[in-house]
Amino acid sequence: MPGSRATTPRSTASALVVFAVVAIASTSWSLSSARVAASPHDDERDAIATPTFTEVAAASGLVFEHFLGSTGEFYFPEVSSAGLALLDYDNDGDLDVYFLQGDVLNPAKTIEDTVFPPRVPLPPRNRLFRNELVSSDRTGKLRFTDVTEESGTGDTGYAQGVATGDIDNDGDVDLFVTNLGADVLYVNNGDGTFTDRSAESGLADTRWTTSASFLDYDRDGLLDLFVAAYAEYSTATDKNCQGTSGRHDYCGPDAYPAVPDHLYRNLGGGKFEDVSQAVGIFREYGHGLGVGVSDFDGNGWLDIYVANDGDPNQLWMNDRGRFQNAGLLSGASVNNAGQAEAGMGVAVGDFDVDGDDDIFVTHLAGETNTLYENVGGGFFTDRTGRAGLGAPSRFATGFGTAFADFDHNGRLDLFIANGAVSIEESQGDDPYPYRQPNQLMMQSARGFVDHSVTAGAALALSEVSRGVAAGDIDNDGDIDLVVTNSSGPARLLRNDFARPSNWLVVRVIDDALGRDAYGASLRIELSDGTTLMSTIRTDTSYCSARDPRAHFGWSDQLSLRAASVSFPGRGVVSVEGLEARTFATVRVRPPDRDASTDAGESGETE
Amino acid sequence: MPTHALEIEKHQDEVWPPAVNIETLSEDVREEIETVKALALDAPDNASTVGDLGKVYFGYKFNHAAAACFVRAAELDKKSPFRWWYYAGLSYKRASSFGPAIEAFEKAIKLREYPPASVELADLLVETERPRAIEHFQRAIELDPNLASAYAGLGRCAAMDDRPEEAIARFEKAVELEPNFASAHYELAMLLRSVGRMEEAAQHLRLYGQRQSEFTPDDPIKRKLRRTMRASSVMTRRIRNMWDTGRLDEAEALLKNHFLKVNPNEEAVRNLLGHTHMRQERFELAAEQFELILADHPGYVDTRSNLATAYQQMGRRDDAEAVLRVALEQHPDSGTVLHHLALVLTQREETNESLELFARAVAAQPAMPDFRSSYARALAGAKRFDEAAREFRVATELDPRSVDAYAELGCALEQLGNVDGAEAAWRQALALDDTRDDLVVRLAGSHFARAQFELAEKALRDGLAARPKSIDLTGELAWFLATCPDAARRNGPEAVRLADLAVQWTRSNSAKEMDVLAAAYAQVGRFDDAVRAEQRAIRLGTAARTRGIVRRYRERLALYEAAQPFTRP
Repeated sequence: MPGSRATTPRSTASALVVFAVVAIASTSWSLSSARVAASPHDDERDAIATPTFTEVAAASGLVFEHFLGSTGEFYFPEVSSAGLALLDYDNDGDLDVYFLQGDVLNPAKTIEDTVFPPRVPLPPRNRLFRNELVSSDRTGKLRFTDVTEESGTGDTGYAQGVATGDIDNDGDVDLFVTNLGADVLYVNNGDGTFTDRSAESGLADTRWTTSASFLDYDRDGLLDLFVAAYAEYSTATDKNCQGTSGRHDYCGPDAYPAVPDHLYRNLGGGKFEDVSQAVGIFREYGHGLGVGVSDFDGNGWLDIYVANDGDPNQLWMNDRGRFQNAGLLSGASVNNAGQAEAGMGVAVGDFDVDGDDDIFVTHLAGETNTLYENVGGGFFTDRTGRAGLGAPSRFATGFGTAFADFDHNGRLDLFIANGAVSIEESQGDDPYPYRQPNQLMMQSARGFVDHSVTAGAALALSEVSRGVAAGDIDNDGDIDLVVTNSSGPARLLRNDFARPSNWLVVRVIDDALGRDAYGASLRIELSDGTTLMSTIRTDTSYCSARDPRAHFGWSDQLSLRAASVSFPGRGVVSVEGLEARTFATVRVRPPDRDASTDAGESGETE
Repeated sequence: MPTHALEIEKHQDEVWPPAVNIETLSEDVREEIETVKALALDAPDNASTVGDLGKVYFGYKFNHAAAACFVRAAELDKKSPFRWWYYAGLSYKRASSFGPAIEAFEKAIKLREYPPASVELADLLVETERPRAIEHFQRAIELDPNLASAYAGLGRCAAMDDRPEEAIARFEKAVELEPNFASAHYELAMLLRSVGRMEEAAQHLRLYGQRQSEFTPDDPIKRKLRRTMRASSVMTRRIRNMWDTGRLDEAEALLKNHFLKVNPNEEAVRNLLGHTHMRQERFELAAEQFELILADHPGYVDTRSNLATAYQQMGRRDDAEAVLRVALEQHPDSGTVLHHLALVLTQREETNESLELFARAVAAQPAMPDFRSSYARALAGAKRFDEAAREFRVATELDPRSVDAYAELGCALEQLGNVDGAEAAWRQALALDDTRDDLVVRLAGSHFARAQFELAEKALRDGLAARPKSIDLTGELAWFLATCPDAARRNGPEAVRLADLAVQWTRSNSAKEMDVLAAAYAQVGRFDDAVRAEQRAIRLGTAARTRGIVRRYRERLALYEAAQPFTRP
């Protein structure tokens, strides 16, 4: 709907820099003041105007096709790959896209032996696409250019996941890629190129790793790295599994033992140390796939949630840099019936607008996806049924997922990328019979409702989706999606939502560190007293990295009253000057940060 | 409104016969499906064959195709369509087609108020139509006040409606009724946590942790369908087929050399291997497999029971008992364990404890006819015939096709002097299985005891007419004709002819049949032959160490030596 899209004021796409002007020394941010039992605008929120999505990947030059590398053996890792990242690697104000690629796993075979020959430039490798939306020619048109070669990011490992973060606090985003085989760290040189620092970084884990997340777990100003690991596997020990009908099929997670996840501490200078044992992360583990980080219990330290495939999930509660799995009592380990489900992807967000982050986990067909509401004190309650997310999710296997307010009604909606992991017998003639349509679950005051069938042709596609990353790719104020498909083309789902509404997209920079304020929360207060919250993150989903900018949507009947940034354990900084329907970069300095320490840390990392 | 295009598309499968693409399936699976499908197409108006096709589709997870077959079977079955609607509901539910599932369960419930079906329906309504869900849960409880899953459902509804105290009370009732209801323990723990009762929450989490292998209680009708599904797995089906055709060594080789290497579900393979060894009567190897499973899964109660059986077969009764006592500690309310341990103790003649355990097994699972029969048998052994007859009668009600239950009911009633009742029970048993010669003999014996010689003879002749090659019936009739107190019914020549046949069929190696032949010879005056036959009977009986009987043979020998026939008093 190009006509209606023209109503979006393009002039606001240029970043409006707003500086924090008041530092509130108090760290006692009152969550209760942010809680809303029932918003006076619930009626309006009930009126969901389903956004329509248009698939524009090829039209915008974002041409990438995942290469499964299958040579007919049904090697287990084929079923789980691969994700993608949305990142502004060249700091030009728009989101670029990094795709992960597969390869032939059988060492005795070549590309000529593959069941699905590659439709990509050879050799298959990861690909970085630069978004030319905000480029030198200033056309404002969504267009992508493949910059893999010049950027030096074309790793050829069998890729699974990717995490983004500024590991050296130099103001540009770095890349970490998980592989079946050695993981890769690409450090951004700030000039459009990256340097592979894997070997010297201490991050080149050769196990089967999946999702990863950068977080400053010890609050020393440097981003550390959590890496989920899946299973002990090699093609030499691959097992021959059958589906129910006796057909050769991919194994389930029980076929291979789980391996521990890892937490790496950033020592500065591009070096990391494995601290998993020292901080307690090593003790419990499952077949890790999805990761989400937030200060779930509000104690000022970032916690880590790991969704495991078929094993109880872990909620690693951080207490001053040491971790303990909150376990069953947390309520987020297994579902309401006490069953460990096949956890794949994770979404973290404040779905109930009560000021804290909740957790959503995607699962296998036959199970439900599960919504864990944060009820405070580090406790969660399974709200799947009540939220209306149970029944609609049973038919498909969910992987990537994202919380985002797609229709600007002030409530987070959900996108779920689906794709089977065992043969769908109803697709018997299909050479790759794992297809399932993706889902759009829109939230109103009455819960979530499946709006997939009314959300445009892009949602009618039935593919084998794995990763999804959410972000405002065309800088028009609403959230778009990029989806990766196993052995299929990547899709760019442009959100063409056109209803009059308010929105705000904010990049929050920790001014003391000179990088995005990962883990901090941006809160905006509306004229009806509602407080919306968004944690600054790039993690969650499945093996993917998202837009680090905070995005809000709300009714055009309400105005923006106040805003603040809350740093875990470091207090709250109020922000002035933010306006609706704008893009902003907020540079804030945590109130209790020791300037001398900052200087010291910066000196080291430089 | 259907929530998704995929669901709309899938509903097209409801046409019968459903289109299922089986081209890519393995050969043996295709063969199985084609065979059952051909039967269904040959008799498209036969609910049973159509339903069987549904079961096969269900087994291979063609859920919509299965549902289509079950719906058709329900429409065809004028007598008992209930189970087909119930199965259709389960199939649709497994296919995540909730609208049709709700419809099918509603139809099932209209035909028969089966509490587990009400719970299935209510479970589907919890998210969308809570008041209706509550009604169905409540109705299920009215019909079966011990249905733990219905209380759990009400608890879930209360929790979703923010009534935590009520939800807690419901879940407490559920776990009181079904202490192994793991998910109810978990949900209860979460609710207790939400109201700050942390210690109780932790206690129920512990109970949940101990019971993770036993999730929700199941109902017998669903279990039947699940059994079909399990039996349909390729590996199990192939192995079972080998068992049925006596190819035990081949089954062993396939399990060891193929499935154990490729099937990730190692305990399932070992379980089949253990059962194969049981059939090979290689009980030590069977025990080894069951022990390996238990090393990884110590809570598997069925495996523990299998191991105990293997030990019993090896004569290691102490070990069998020990294994079952561990199982009983783990699952104090498991009817299977209580029953098995009671059987072991019965063998060891520890009557009091076995009776107590049988009683507990029956209390734990009152609807299990086998448990009732075992308990009744133990009561009869303790000469508590009145109670035994009552338990046997319940067993026949629970399983009206149980020949043994009717037969043993007859015996218990006979002991109580209720001859008419005994006869009726035996006749019922014979109506179900006309190959039970022992029941014909019992029936004839009952008439004989009341001097109803004509009826006794008729019973034997009818039996023999039905089974003319029966050695037992041939011998029994010969014995009757040779020794009947009523001279009019005696028939020496026919007795000789029949007794001679019985002796030939037993190759002159049966003391019993030689004794009959001797009596028949004596009846026709061939006393020398009678003496020789009785002497052989004595030799065979002595070799078999049947002293009491041999004494009677000697008494009869004396008669024959004195040229007198033997006539029963």
